[in-house]
Amino acid sequence: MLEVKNVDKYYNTFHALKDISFNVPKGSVTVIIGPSGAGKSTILRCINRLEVFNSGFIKIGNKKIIPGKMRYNDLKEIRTRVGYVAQSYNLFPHLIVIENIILAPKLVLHQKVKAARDNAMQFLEKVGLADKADSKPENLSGGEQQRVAIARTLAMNPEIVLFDEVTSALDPELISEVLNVMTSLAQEGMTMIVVTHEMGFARSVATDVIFMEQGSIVEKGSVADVLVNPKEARTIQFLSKVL
Amino acid sequence: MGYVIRFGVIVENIQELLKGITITLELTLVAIVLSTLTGIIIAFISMNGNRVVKAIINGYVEIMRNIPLLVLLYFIYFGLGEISINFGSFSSIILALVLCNGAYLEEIIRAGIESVHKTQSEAGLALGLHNYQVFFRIVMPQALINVFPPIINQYIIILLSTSFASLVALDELTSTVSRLSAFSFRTFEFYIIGAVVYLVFAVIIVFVTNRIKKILRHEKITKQKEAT
Repeated sequence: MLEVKNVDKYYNTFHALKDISFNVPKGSVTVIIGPSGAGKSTILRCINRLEVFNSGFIKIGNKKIIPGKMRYNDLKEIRTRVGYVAQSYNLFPHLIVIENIILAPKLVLHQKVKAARDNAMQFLEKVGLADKADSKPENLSGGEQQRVAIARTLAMNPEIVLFDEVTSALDPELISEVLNVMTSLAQEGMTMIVVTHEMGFARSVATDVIFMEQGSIVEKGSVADVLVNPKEARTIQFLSKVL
Repeated sequence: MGYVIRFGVIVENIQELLKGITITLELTLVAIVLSTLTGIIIAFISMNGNRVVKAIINGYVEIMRNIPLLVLLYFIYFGLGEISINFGSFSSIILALVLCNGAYLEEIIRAGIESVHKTQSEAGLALGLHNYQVFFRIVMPQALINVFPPIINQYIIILLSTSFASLVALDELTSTVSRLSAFSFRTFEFYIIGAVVYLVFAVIIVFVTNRIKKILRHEKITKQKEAT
């Protein structure tokens, strides 16, 4: 359902992504691991075109992301299909929780307020925060804010959700509440690409693993291939440090 | 020391004073609304425009910031009149106030926009919003909250600057007060009343804008929650 093909990206002269290609089948959970600066976040940001890449293409169903300028209507469709949850949650601080969730369904999908609200409440219940609908983001803990951010993304009914180090900014004891939400989402068959340092999550939930370093994919395959029996020396070295 | 203070003279001329106050109020409200819109729109254009557009806007702001309001007003009222572009007293002062304060407000609002973290726009874009929706629904409200104190300041400056209208034959509060005091020789009484009226209006502006800020920040909602 998602195809990344020969994607290259430069920041001025810095070669940030080098010939990245991989496929994400429907219902799979792809975990991308690797040291800082490997390009993990950059590739995610290319998939919903928060970043523009220089060559190659990304295909989501029948929609294609290409280098260079794109029309808003195409971007809108891509970003509606591809949900994105960022490390820093980025809830809108001037809106209460429920308004955070219904803003995009109202403006982009043109849902009626009532329908958007009912839909939003369902997702809030799903992430266990139905009682916080009228709270301001600043009165929520980091873990709660991140769960609201996930609900906000799900309210757009995406076909695939990108998680960009969503637990990295959280206190250790809040990490599990976010991972639990993601795990149940995966069990329901949501297609996900997850950039994370949580190896426990990767081992129990992932179907595919990609190991990246310095802008390149070093190794990719099933959990058993990459996490249990890695072939590349660099993967073995990395895993010995994080496991 | 033969001057005896008699405020009775104010009551005798209350009709004329109220007329002047009404015009000052109209000038202030129209100028505040138009200046704010100008500031927001120019800030939007400046943030999204190319280098040429940005240079034009910077030039405009720089010109407005560096000439006295009175010179601008005289230029519009008298100068443009010479080349057959005629503005009435009311339009001239509004135009001068909006041109000048629109530039100041643009600078203030732009500072506010820059204080909103880039990840906020990204979150909006990632949800499929259009650039202008991100700007007006996500960035702008936060920007305004962040720069409320200087905006209130600018609104008060607008109120006080409406007194320049007395110099282009508009009978607003300052002009009325100065005319009445000249006729009646009750300078002390009339000018002190004029000052008090400006002061009261300034306090009202602070009060109203603070209410707006609270609404923008949802402070009411939190209070209700705390009460229950």
